[in-house]
Amino acid sequence: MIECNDLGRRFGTVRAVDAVSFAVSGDVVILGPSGSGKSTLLRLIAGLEIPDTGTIALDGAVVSQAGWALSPHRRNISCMFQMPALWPHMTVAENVRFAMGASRNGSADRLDALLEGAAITPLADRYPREISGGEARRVALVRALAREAQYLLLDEPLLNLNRELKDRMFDLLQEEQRRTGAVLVYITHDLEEADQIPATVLRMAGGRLVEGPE
Amino acid sequence: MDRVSAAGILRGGPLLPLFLLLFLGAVFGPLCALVFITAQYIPGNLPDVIALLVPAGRRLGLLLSSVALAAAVAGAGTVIGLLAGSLLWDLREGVWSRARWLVVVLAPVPAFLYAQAWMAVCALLATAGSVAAWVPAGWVLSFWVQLGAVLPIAVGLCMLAMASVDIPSIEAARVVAPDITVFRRIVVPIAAPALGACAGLLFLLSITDYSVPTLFSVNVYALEIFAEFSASSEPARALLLAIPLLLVTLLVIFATQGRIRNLMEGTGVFQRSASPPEYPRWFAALRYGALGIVVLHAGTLVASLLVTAVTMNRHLPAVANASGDIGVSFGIGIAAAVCCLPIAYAAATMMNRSGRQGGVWWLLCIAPLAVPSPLVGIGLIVLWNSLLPAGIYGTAAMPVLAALARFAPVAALILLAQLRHIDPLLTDAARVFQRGVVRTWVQVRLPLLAPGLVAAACMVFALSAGELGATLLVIPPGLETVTIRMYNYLHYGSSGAVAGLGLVMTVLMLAAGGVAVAAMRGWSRLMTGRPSSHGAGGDTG
Repeated sequence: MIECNDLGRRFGTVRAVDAVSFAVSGDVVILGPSGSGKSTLLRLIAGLEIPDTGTIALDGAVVSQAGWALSPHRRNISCMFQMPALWPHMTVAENVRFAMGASRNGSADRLDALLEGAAITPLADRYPREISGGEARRVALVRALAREAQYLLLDEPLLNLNRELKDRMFDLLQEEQRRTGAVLVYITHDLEEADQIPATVLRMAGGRLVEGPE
Repeated sequence: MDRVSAAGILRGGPLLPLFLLLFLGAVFGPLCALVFITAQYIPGNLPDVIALLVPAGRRLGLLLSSVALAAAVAGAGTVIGLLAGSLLWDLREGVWSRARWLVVVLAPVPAFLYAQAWMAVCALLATAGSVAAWVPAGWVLSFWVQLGAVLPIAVGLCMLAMASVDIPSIEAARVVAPDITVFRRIVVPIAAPALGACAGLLFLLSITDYSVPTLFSVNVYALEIFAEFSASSEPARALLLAIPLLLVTLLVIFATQGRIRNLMEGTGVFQRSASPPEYPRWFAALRYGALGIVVLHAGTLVASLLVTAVTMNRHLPAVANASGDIGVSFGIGIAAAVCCLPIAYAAATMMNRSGRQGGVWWLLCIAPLAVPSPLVGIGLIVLWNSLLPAGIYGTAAMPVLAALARFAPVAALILLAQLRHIDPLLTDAARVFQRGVVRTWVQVRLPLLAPGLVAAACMVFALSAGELGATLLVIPPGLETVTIRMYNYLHYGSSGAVAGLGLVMTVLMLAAGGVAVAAMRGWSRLMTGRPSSHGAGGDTG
């Protein structure tokens, strides 16, 4: 259960997230155009931003409030950002293994299965600088899945992938989600993509929630 | 983006070849003169040559102890710089958020001013009965003072190293691991090239400096070069004697040169994660301990200056006596700063080019950093007294040339950093809309380059005014710089007489450092719309 109450985050004079309140149990899709505050909301939920106002609670426990945020790694979350953000000094396999470390499921079999699922097995020993942008996005998604956290926060995970890869990654995502039971927080601006996910839909515009459960 | 684009528009125009030639002449002329005269010396003196080239016995011990001292300073400086720098980097509110800039402002203060401050502290402690036996001396005190002198540079470079780690990489790791693991497994490895560059630079600064060790009766190899020349008046012997040290410094340069080059890369926007990291107590204590050491050194310097300022009436005669020297130092600093800008800019544009050309110029600009200062002075004497007796030797131009030879490459590196932080699109746009060369220069190129030019000029001014190793050899009869006067006073134990001069020097250095920092901060504000000390979180809306 994710509960946000009167959540606000301002950058200078810009209210990136403005008085957002909702309570959702189960998966959620956050829709909205560029600059609507989706990514900031996701970063607030991840604990990477500290709210100026309001609270965030995960499963009833307050994890963020004005001026304070519980460390990201204590929230039992996993995250994929808009940028792949792969660690440049680690190979693809090491990137994924680092994320697995905390989940106590860092077995070689699981790593192989994830890489296979995303069709990136041949890239395992390559460094981020040696792979393409699309491949990097797939690695980033696999890394997020490898964590097996309770909440899976994904910011435009399938952006710029072709149809075939989109379908493949979507299948992998659903399969992993079924297996781990993770709650999905999925950010997109693509209506078609949003329709594929059976989840509560929140629409944002200008930092505010314009559609969704109160 | 391709750097060639920026290099193309920012190249120095028709004057470029002339300035490049002047750069090469100023920086490599003295060395080439030394090599020329040494080549003449070698045939008739082979046994001597071999004895000088291969350090053995006392000289080997001296070389090893010099390397050990420099390695200790570089290692401790980098570790303390990393810990204190990372703490200052994370502090985002209140007075401490600005403290990082205060630390960096101290960077140009010469090491012997720290020596003066710590000598006063030690003298005070020596009179304090039971503590007297514990007052450090010799190697330990030399290490401590050199460490204090390089810490502002170390902290500054380590903060640059932190800036080279992009925030998404850190945030992606923070989601899956504790902050201490993120620091150890992500931040340090990604920043490692920049940290290696920092350690390399501190090593070079330490091993080529003899002013501080000799004040504490510690003999070092750099002084041996000076002593050999003083004793034999034979430049070739000084160069041959210096070659083992040169090999060490060149090794360090080549091991870290790519890393220093990487340090020039980056976004130019100083970013931090929006939510502060949470470290275990032991690590937090380490970071505060490291910052404590930085503050202790800076505080000791400032306290000694404050005591001097309060009792300035007592020091006024010494300052008045040295007013001519102050003018000479100021003049050398200004002349070197002005002269170095065009030639350093030309070298920076060449370094900024991609491919082999850029690589060659990169090597040409960093290799001089490995040359001990006495060699530069000796080379200048050979060049202008023996090989090209053009009336320059024995004039005030000599210390300016010494400063150019030593610090033009430093200015070139600062300008390269500036060139690399200019968005190539800005210069491409200027190229498209160019309305005459002069107008484009004045309206586009100079404003974009201005902070780098100001920073480079200030740095060269401060370094030149405080230079000792080469100036000591080339200063003409009848002239003296404040640094030489202070060094002589300190060397002969009249530390009381240097207090007022130390204050004057430090004010000069701090003013230069302050202007440089203000220029860079102003530029950062211009480029990002906010001061550079603010976090990146504000951009993520």
